Amino acid sequence: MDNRRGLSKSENAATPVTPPARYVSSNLSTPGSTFGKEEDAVIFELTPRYIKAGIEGESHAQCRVAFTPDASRRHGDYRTWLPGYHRANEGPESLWGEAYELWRNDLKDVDLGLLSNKLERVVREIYNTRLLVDAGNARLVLVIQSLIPHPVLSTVLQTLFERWSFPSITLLPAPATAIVSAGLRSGLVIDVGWEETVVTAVYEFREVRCLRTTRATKLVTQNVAKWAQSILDAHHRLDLNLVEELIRRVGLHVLQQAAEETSHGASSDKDRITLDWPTTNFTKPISFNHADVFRVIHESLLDPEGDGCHDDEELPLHKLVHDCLLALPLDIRGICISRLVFIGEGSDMPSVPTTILRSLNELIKAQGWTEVLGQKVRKRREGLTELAQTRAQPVDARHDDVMLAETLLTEERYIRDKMKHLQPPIQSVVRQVDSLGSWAGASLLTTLKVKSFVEIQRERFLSHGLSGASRSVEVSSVQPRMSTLGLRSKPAERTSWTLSGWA
Amino acid sequence: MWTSLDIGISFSNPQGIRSQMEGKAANPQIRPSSLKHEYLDGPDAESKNDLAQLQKPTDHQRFNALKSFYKEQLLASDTNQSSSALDAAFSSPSSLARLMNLYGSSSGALGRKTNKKASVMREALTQSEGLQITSNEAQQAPQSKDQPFSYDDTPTPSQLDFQYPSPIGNPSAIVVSQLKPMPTILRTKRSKRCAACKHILVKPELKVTSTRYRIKLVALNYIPFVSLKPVPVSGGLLPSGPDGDPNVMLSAGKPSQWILTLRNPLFESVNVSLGSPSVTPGKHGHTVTILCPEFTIGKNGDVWDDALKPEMGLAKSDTQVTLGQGGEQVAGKVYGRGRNWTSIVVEVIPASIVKGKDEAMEEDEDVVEVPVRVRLEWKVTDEQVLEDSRARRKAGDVEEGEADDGSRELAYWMVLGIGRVGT
Repeated sequence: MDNRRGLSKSENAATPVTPPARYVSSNLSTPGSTFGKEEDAVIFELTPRYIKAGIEGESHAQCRVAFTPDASRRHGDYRTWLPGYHRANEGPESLWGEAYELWRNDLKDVDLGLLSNKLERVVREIYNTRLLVDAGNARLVLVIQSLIPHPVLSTVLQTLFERWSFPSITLLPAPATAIVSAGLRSGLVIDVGWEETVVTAVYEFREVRCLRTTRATKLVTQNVAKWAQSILDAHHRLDLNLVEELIRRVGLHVLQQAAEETSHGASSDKDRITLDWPTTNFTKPISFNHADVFRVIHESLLDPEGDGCHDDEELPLHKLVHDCLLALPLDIRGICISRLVFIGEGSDMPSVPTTILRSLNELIKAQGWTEVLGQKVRKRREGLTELAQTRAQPVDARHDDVMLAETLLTEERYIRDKMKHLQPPIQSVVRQVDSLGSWAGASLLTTLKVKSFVEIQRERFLSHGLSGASRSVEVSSVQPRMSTLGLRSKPAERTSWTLSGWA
Repeated sequence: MWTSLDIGISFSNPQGIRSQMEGKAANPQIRPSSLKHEYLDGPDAESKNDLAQLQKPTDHQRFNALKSFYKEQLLASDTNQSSSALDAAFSSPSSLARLMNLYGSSSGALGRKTNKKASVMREALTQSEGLQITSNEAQQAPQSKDQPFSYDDTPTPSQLDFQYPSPIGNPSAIVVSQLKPMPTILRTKRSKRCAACKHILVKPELKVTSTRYRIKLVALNYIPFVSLKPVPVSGGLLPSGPDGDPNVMLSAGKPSQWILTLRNPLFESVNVSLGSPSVTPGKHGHTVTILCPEFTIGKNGDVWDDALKPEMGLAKSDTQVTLGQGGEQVAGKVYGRGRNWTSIVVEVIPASIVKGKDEAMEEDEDVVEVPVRVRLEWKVTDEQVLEDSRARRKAGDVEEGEADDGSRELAYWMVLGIGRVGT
């Protein structure tokens, strides 16, 4: 509750500022703007690997289309179905999975024109076969990562605006929407994505801090592929689809048990999997212990045997989560730590969340919440703790006195009365909360008519592109009540638009 | 015979299977409202776990619970803010109240202000509000003790991708038996308009059972039909069949000549100019030369023209091909010409593809394809001009002062697929 008290205090500071927001509730706006029923918005969740599409207000997306090399074939190219067809062998080299992703963070080799064509095709197909509505009539809500290369964002918007006549495109950040669909207002979103794992601290629907690591699904598939190569013959072929299928299917069944067994080193016969791995010319079943798959996955994500000296970009996940929490202010940390939300394709990998949480707990136990480590520091700190303990009590009490002496007293009492029936928010325990995912969160927000900061109007974008966005950060602070899922302000009032967090 | 009873689904009537499936998917086995009261008196860990194990709500139920929770919360904060919202919007006499609100509130004496603060939206606290705590027990629940591990029982990613749209399907199935039967994706009839002029290009008949079109303007009725075959020289490549041969092999570094024939579907003669990059784009640049990039193709006629004027048709259309005389393969001259077609020669020198020992050829890396920019110019008859202007006036996009002299032009890209580079 401390944080809230702090906030209200700063609000009450007597400096006259412009009123926080100019709300016009929708039923008071001119009838012209609400004339006719607005069509349900279409929501796309776009990641480098797949696109999810659906209509607002539904609990699930209508479809999920992955970007695969097969999708970029010409119309009428049915060679994949021919007998004797086999895809070229893909090795876990640096270009691993290039054909399966729409873009990568390293834009050096990304052909933006190709990106645009691929996206156009997939969106057109989604509208024609799955959504079955006229493309471009309803407004579009785009859920994307909060870190997306600007050229990619620009190309995506350009493609959508030029090919179809969307009146406007709304951008929503994936971490915040995941928080919404978990029923929370704050939390730590751990997005185990394709190229990167992004840990985002969200407080009152605002992204407070964001850390990234390259330990993500791509690395996992690469390592599993390397491991698979070691047990396979040259006849066996290997591609990303196979590896992903293997990880997923092995993981769907064996959860905690297997992970424990690996740590004990026990492997019995029932843990072995015999697979009819596809080959080029003959059939020979492959047999392996599924615990090996787990081991590879955990090693790539958590690096338990590492020496602890990692580059900034390749921190193990539990370390990254810990670092992110450590960098947060104390009260926000307490809120976030008991609201861990896992999203992303990697989060359904076998026992990944549980293992991360276990390692995180161990790390907290061992290291606590100090940034500085080492023997010397510990010795010095012991002395300090003693000193602090003797003084701690009176200092706090004095602060409390000041607080109560203020005229806030009545208000505090009032709030306390009001809050009596509510439980205090759970704090400071490691707890994982299930989220319905970013798509569902966006669907929720859109049906509730919550306005996003970033709503890009067609004409404005087409005339100026991304550079037309106003750079001022103030826009986000002008509507602080947005964070309380406030009323919807009228779109016509907007004279400038902003990229908010994406700028 | 397979029945849906095999997978434990029974339908009450034979119609509307999809809506029945939807109803089953949304079927609330526990009513969220009945949960509410048991829950509010205290989230002690025991009862929570019991309930979580008893019934884990489906995603659909959770979504609905969340939606109603947020609605409730919005409503609560809405009513509390409405007064100040009104003030802000209509800054008439009540602006005084607003000022009071602004400057007076630090005293905390104004009830309204405190009221507002007290109702800051909160997060979902119980399962009935859509909160779902992940516990280890819940994760292990799907794996019961007696269920042996079998790789074959797990669904493949493509099976799971077929489980959308999801309230009917189950994209988070763990075993194959949890997959749901999915409805076939519906096909639609679509009419298409030109993106530039809004003309209807294709419009199917409204009748459901009919597959015919009311309007069908196909590009091939307007742009020349293109065919490509090797120049018949002794020892050269053999002409392929009518559908083309997918495996035409070219030898790297050796020039090969191809006859490019354009057949005119229009009833006016058309000036054609072709352009192509001298080296094809892509990983391997193949050298391309169009020997005669500008030429005319004659106008199309009725099918009966040839038959009615046999001397004309035989003498001048199809037989007037001069072969292998060398003169036709000179730059700037057409290879052959008929009533409504013209052939020219394209020369291709494929680049050789050099690969390291371990490098494998990518799929279709050896295909030689040539992008060609085609530009057509022709003049329409006076009647056509009139008709066109009438149509445009009807469509409302006529610009005054722009006299139509009947000249038309069209430009587009095409790709000639020639063959593969042999090794």
